[in-house]
Amino acid sequence: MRKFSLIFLVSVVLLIVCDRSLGLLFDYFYKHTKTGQTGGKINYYLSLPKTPEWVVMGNSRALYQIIPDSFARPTYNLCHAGMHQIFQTGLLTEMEKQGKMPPLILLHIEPGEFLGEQFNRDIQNLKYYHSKNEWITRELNVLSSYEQVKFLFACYRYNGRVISLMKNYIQTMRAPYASNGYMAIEPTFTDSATTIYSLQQKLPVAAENMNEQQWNYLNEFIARCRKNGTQVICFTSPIYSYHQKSNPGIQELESRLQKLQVPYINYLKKDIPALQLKASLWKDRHHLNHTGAQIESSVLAKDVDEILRQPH
Amino acid sequence: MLFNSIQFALFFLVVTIVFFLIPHRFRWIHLLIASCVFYCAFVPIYILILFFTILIDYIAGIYIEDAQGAKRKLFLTISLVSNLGVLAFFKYYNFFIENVNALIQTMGLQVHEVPYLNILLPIGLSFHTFQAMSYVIEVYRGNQKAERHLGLYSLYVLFYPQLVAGPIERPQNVLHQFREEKKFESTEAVSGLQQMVWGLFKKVVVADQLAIYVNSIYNNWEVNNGFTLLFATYCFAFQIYCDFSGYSDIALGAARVMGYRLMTNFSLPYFSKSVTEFWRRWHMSLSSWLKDYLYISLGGNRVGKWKTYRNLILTMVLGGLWHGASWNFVIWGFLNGIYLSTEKLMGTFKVQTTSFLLRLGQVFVTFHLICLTWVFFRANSFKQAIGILTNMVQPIQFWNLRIQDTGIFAGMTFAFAILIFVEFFLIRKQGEAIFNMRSMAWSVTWLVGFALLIILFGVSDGDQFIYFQF
Repeated sequence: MRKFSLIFLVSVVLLIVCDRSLGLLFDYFYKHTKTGQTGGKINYYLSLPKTPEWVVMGNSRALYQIIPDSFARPTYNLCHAGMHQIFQTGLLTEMEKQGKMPPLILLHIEPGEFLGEQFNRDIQNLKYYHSKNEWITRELNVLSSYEQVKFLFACYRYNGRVISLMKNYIQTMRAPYASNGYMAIEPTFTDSATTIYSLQQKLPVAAENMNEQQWNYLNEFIARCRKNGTQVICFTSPIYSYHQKSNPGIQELESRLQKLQVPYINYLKKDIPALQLKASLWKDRHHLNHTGAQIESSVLAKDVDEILRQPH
Repeated sequence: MLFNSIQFALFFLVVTIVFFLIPHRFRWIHLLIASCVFYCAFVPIYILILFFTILIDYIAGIYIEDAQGAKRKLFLTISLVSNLGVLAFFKYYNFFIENVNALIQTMGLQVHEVPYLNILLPIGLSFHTFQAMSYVIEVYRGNQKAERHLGLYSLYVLFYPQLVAGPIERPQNVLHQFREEKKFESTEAVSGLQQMVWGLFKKVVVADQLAIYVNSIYNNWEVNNGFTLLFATYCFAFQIYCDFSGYSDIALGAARVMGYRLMTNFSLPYFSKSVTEFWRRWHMSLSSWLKDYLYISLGGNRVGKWKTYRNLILTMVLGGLWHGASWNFVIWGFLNGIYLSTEKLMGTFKVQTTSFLLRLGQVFVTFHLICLTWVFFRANSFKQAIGILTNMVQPIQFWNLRIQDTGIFAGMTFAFAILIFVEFFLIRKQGEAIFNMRSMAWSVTWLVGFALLIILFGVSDGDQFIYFQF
């Protein structure tokens, strides 16, 4: 019993010491990382001496497709691949907290996201802000009954992203990062084949009812922007060889945005002729390559200008 | 209550502390209550099914022992029919109806479709059914005395570490252990904890990270091809291995902390040089069950060459069906049966060689044969499995590996490297002795090291164990 108690005690003490030490070490790496999707890009944006006038937020379909230089004003692409609305709202709360709200946000939304299942686990990608940001902490804590226990470990904030963090830290140290946040997918000779091949995959049919919790995240996003005097324009990127048919759910989403006076440009309905059926402009069915991105960005820039010119 | 949850960690802690605090005569009651609580954490009402079969098998065991001649067989039959009846109703009824309806449709008969049952499958049903059957058969064969203590017999079926996903124990191995007074042994407790932590590492760090990649490729199989699909299948092979063997390690470790020894379920199966060897190392408690109670009962290899092959294929097909009610599992079992029969027919892999390259080649071929069967195991339907295999051999952009998320890919590569290092350099040479406490430094390093890896790399919201569904 004595032997066991000793081993148990030493293990627990050593675990606490290692956890705290590694936590501090990763904190250091994190704070000095200014590139990559594991927080570096957020750090870079938050550390900019002057907040850009326009910011693009959304998932990979905006990250790889919206070129900030296409717009008339200084713009930053703060998109993160694979992230749903809860992540965007969480990120916005941190921008608000640090006084980095821009005058205009172009928010990329996926209509299907507000009609289907729950996507609240993306908030885990903002674990670093647990206990630092009230909104993020609350959303993280509701993920499971024992989530708060897990955060007793200092290292848990870096769970699943240690290797990426180290890679991004080294990258930041090797070459000082200066960018507008856009990530280009360079065109290759196989793009057409890959895109046509990807047509084999059936697109999910959008549900007809609104997912109220998902909508609440968007509603919160818009409300916080309004409180800070930030204008929001929502948009949705096109999908290759696809035209969205309206259903009660999509109509409801559009009407709610309209009621909130948030302009919504939906390229799934309003086709961009130059992009449709030109497989060489796409990387796959959902993502444009750099050539295609240039076209979408310029069209979006024009549409945004038109909206801004309209009297409020 | 999943083994990879904080809820279980607390449950295990409380149950183990209370176990050692109370006198021996009350321990079976304590473990029985704890096991019921553990089971009820899933679907509470289903514990009644377990009580029903426990009671039948308990009575059948006593009657078989006391009866003579044909009556013994009658009681055995009653017990087997009851167990298999419950299994058939909950697990195979809808599968049967699905096929009947398909047949009706094919024949163009103008009759209403037979309705499906809208019920959940009781968790771990196949496991505890087989364990209960093993008891009755052993009593019938005279290898085990009938257990007269209902509480101890119930504990044999319900013992929480192996209740929902095995190992499928034999009465000779476990029942007597419940009568023995277990004293707290530091070395056993530390060894058990080491095995539990290793099992948890395999599940949440290796299996669950691999699962993210495998799911992203298999769920979009229409747009993936060539090496990407092949690589995802390799990943699935290790995902299912780490998922299931991880569960077994946690089960064995949890029992060992309390002084109970359960049978080993995995012994580095992917180092096998033939499929026959693979089945001696993979899910050993099931393969030995199938051999002892099915293959041998069918006549085994004592009935001539061709009937031996038939027995092998039939045993594996039924083994496949044990996993799930789907044609995919039937094909999975059939392929394994074909492999085993072919090896028996050719005797190819009986050749013992000292050449490292030849042995490596044998391991390579065996691994790929097993991977082919995993496609059917993982795919959601036969059509999907065929689609995946067709896309896999497409030569266009064959070597274009889709990595998906680089962070996850790096994480799973790192986890895989640790797995291979530990299994190849430590477990391969020392077996489960690796978990034995050697020195304080060794144990502390093992416990703290893997705990940190779990905190840093573990998937905190990972899937439940794959084998729970069986």
